[in-house]
Amino acid sequence: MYILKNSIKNLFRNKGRNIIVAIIILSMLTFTAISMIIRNTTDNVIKSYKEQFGSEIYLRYDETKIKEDEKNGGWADIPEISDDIKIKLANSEYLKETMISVIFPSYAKDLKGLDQGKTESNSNIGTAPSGMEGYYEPNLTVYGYNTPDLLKDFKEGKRKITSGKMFTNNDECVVSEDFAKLNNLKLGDKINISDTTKSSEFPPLKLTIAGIYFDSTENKYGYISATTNPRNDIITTYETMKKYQENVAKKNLYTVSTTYYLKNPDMLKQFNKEAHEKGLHKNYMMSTDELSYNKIVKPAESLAKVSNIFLISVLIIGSIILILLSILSIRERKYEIGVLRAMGMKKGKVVRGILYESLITISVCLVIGLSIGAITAQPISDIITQNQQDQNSSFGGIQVNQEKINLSMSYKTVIDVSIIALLLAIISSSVGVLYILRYEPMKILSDRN
Amino acid sequence: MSILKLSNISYQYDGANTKVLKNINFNFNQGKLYTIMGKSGSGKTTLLSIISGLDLATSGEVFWNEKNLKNISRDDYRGKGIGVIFQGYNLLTNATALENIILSMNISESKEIDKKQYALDLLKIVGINRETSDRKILKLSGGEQQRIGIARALSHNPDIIIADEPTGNLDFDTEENIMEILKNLAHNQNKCVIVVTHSKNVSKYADEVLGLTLGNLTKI
Repeated sequence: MYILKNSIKNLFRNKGRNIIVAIIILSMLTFTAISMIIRNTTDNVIKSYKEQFGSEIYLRYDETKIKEDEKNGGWADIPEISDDIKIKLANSEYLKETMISVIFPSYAKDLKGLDQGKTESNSNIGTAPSGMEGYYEPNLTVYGYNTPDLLKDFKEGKRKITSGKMFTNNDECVVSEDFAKLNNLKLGDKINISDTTKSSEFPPLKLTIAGIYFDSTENKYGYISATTNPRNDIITTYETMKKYQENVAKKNLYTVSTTYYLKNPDMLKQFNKEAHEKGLHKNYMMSTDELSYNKIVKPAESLAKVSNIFLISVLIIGSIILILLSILSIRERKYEIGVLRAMGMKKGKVVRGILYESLITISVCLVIGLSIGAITAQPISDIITQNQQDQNSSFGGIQVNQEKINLSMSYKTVIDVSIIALLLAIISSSVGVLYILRYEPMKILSDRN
Repeated sequence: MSILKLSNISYQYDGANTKVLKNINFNFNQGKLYTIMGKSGSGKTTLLSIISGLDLATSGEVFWNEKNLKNISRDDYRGKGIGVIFQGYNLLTNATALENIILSMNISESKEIDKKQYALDLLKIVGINRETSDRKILKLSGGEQQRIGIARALSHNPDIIIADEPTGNLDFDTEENIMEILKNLAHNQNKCVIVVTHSKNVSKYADEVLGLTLGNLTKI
């Protein structure tokens, strides 16, 4: 106990030296805390992005390959991907599930679509393209999905079944409240839907209303029309649409879209390879949603990179300064050690005393450093992110409105910074400890005298 | 029975050709004040370092209460068995006089209940008043520091007190005063006091005067 008390007194006795050491350690720990907070938070952002979006895969053009083709002269070959390949890829062992969807802009002569026949533009939205001879203007859109479980708008609560149930069988559908109200439709009603050809020679698609949904989604297109109004969406099964196309219409009514969900985000590379082996054209690739990647992951990755470089620099420079300071103060330290040893204090107790001094200094600096780090990490991160965005746009890069990363201090950060603090304690007391272990007290004192 | 016995002590510095101490044999007893005299470089301080367990002899043994120092912890010996008064004082300069004494008592695991009062009493014995006790060593004169060194050497009530040129840096009056204290310790408190000096004036306080010449310790 007296060793601890003596160490505390010693800290005050050698104020000058200890204040300099404390300032250096405090600076190092503050910068370390800031870097760690940024790094751990960005790691979490990247991890959570991968968990949320990283497994959701789309088919997209491979711009690198296309540019290579264009470099080699001529136009790049970008053939349309057949529905067969899209469906075939859904059988991959790397996939957890696949959402297959079809869009069928159609016409129902007995029904009226919201915004049907509207040609006026408002201030933000343009006008619909004019119709063509021999075709009806579509007044609704039929969507076919292989599973209702993956319907994003329903998952996110933008659409909600308010009456009846989600379709479970073929030939069942759900319609919006507004559409049902406009056409006096109720559960169990049958609706007939045709393609837009005026001289259509095949029977209409017959669907039974299984459910009615509340819709709060917005028009995602640039103009007002019945097909762009999401309240006119009629949702049924993919199988219903497939059977209707193959058995009744006997002509292509739609194209298939697919979204693949990997079992693990890290399987993207293997799935991409498999897709090309199964016949996917080389100018296509499997990819995550690049826009959200650029918005969320890119700034996080850049921040993590900057904070890592910063952390390593601070630790190297700080450690060198600490060691130099220890060497410079060794004369004073040697004398103390020599006196204590001459008085009969055992080596182990002298070492303990020195370590206590370092640990007390470090603990105080750790608390202050973590507090300063927690307060300043967010503004520093914001400045770095803003600078990167500014640099990107000033050098003609793609301007993506990057999302702000909200930093917070986690237990992991506290543990990481504490481990570094412990290492600093060892570094700052190592020179004194080495002296104690190497020399006899008389040697230490006679050197000084 | 001797409290301290030197048996065939020899010492040779690293890289030196000759021994600075040659087969020294001597018995020191309690209740006596010894002075060891010799020219500069004769090995007085080296002998003192060996006796006080601060250094090891090249060959030979030191016995304290018939215990060979090689077989016991030299830290314990320094902390409990002997008190050393250094020529250069060797006090913790940023600590107060009182703190130096209490720390020494802590190191020696003193059983005193009121260590602070005991330390103040010791300081008073060597002529350090209460006010000076709370001043940092750096702010005290050489004489005051030497008195504190003596108080520290006595703080754990050792059997043996060793002093290396204890009055070397002091004026005549202070020298007299300090030698009286040491003499009193030997004669009234039954301590074995060994003083290394080259002052004949100091030697007049000794019960036995020893000379260290050409590595040999002899009675004068």
